[in-house]
Amino acid sequence: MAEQTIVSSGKPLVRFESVSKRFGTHVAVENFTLDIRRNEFFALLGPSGCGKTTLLRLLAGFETPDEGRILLDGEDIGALPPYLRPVNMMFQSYALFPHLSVAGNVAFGLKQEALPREERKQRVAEMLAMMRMDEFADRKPHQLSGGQRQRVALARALVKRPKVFLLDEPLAALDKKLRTQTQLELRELQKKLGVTFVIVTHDQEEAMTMADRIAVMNGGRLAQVAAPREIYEHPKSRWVAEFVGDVNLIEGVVSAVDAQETVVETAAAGQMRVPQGNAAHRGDRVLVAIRPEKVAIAREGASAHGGNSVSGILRDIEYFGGSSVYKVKLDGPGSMRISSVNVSRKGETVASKGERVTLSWSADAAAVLAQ
Amino acid sequence: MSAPAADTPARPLAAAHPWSNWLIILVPYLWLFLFLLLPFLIVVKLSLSQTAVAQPPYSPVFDLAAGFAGIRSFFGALSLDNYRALFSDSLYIGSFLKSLEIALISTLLLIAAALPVAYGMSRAPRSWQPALVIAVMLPFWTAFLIRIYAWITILQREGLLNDLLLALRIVDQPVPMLASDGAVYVGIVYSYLPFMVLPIYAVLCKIDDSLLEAAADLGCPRWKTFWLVTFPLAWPGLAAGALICFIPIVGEFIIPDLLGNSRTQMIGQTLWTEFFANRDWPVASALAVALLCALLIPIVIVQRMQNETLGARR
Ligand SMILES: Nc1ncnc2c1ncn2[C@@H]1O[C@H](COP(=O)(O)OP(=O)(O)OP(=O)(O)O)[C@@H](O)[C@H]1O
Ligand SMILES: [Mg+2]
Repeated sequence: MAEQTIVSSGKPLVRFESVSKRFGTHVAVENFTLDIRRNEFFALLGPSGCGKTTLLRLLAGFETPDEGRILLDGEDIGALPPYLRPVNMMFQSYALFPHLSVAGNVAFGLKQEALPREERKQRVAEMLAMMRMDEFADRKPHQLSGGQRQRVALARALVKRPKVFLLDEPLAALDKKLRTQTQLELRELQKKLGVTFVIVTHDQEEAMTMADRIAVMNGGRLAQVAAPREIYEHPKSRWVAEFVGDVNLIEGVVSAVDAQETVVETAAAGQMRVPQGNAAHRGDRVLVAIRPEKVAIAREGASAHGGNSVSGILRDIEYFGGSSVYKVKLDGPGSMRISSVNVSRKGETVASKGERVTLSWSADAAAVLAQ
Repeated sequence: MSAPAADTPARPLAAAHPWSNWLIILVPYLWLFLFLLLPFLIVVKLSLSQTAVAQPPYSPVFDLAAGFAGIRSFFGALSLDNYRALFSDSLYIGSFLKSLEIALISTLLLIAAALPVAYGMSRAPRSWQPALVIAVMLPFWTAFLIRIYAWITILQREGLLNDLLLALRIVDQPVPMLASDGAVYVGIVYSYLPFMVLPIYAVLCKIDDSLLEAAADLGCPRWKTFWLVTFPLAWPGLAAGALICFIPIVGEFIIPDLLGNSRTQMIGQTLWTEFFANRDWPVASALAVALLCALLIPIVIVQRMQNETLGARR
């Protein structure tokens, strides 16, 4: 999908040029073209087995591409073995050396460089202090908690001051609370050090909160690359819309197109007006995508707001604490999910199960996707 | 699930057959007592006796018929003279030191030979590895003695190796190879190699590949990764292999007897000579006990080190 290459300002730091990688007959990465900019926090997002790890390993040098080139700072690094690449990786399993202490692990990479002993010691100490691991410097990895091990793995790679820092699912082993905290810390760290981070994750929320830009992958191919908001609000395809967040998809046919709006005739919700975004032509069969939280729900008869509305019967309410999700069977074919913030503590809902409700949304809440 | 419920399946078994539990524990101890401790005590007793031209060739002989006085005189007749003899005669100390020297050098040679083999095996494709392990153990299918005789036919004056060297015109007359230190080392390294390869291989194939990748990622070329990561992690295997080889090599008898000469007299040969040629059972026994005590030292050291590394790995 070469047409999806982002034209970025300035030279990209990393460039994948039509890279393919096969394992036997299995294609892990296919004709992959992508630019990663300097100093950005970049996330690779996709379902399990879509080739995220393979892409990182190609960049680190543990795999060689079957086709295409990988450029770092404009230079083809295809022929460089891993130990000569100015790229460091944090492994999914952390891969700490069990026979070395925390300080020994962190110093390992620097010992491979011709650094004066004093400078090496200083950089190790600085890095340990930054990671708040200085008091554990003499411990062995097996004497650390999961979170501490992870910080050692971070320190060990970052102390090398890589041009690109690769993280393969760095937070997968942590519990939810520690994960959220570490997400913020990682982001702060990235801004502070000014190193380009490329993180692999299959958790979309994680990608959204941390990354400047996200590449969504599907089956070894690039599905979309953009800023988190862009991915969420303007998905390029049905697959991206469904993979990132919850979405209602309503089938229809385009009946009119002008500069501002696309008008779609749907069986489920009648005529829908959608702002012009993705190019569609009169007569195209399309999907109208609406995120659940963009829709307002009210008892039938209450005044609807926005440009579009549709009625139905409330079938089910899922309670999530901060918000609830309402499942509504539309009068036409199909149903919709609406999420609404629980403002009140009393437990009253907009409507009860079985009641007739009206759903409404403003014209710019929806987007048109190819079917 | 509540705790008592979890307990119940185990309880009735143990309660119904308390003796079966004891039996399970007793069997190995009984075995050790009958075939290790008892013979050892007999040897200890022998080592405290004196040679006699008699049948059996030592005194005192335990005689219950003499009653309590007999037992007293029995214990009174025991002495440490044989141990004094061991330390005063340079023959014993000399052959003991020679044994240690040969065992130490052989163990180092074995490590040097086994490490590349084990490393190569652990790096081979997974599907080949069972076949390689069998290949390492294949020599065991032939009797040990026959394999050592085979080395005689290879190393002797008109042997295969000399024939080859002569045919290739590398030498113009046969080289004496048999009956030398070198021949003993060849025989030992050849015989003990599997015992060194297998423990090292067992450790190497457990090393996580991502550790090697991490080392490469941090700027370490392959050969250096071997010394900085693989070798230290293989240490428990090396120690186990060294222990398994070192101790029997110290007591080795057949290899130096068949491939060595009088200068390679090892403690095992000295022991054999005392027992069977000189019929000095007490001195031979004292020698055996002293040897055992000396060998306990490396065992304890290696066990300590292994406990430490095991603790580190958990
Ligand atoms: N060394 C290999 N040999 C054969 N197939 C491989 C190899 N490495 C990866 N694959 C295959 O390539 C595909 C992509 O693997 P990859 O590890 O990149 O997925 P991933 O996106 O990182 O998945 P996950 O989120 O589960 O880690 C998978 O189908 C995997 O089975
Ligand atoms: Mg992966």
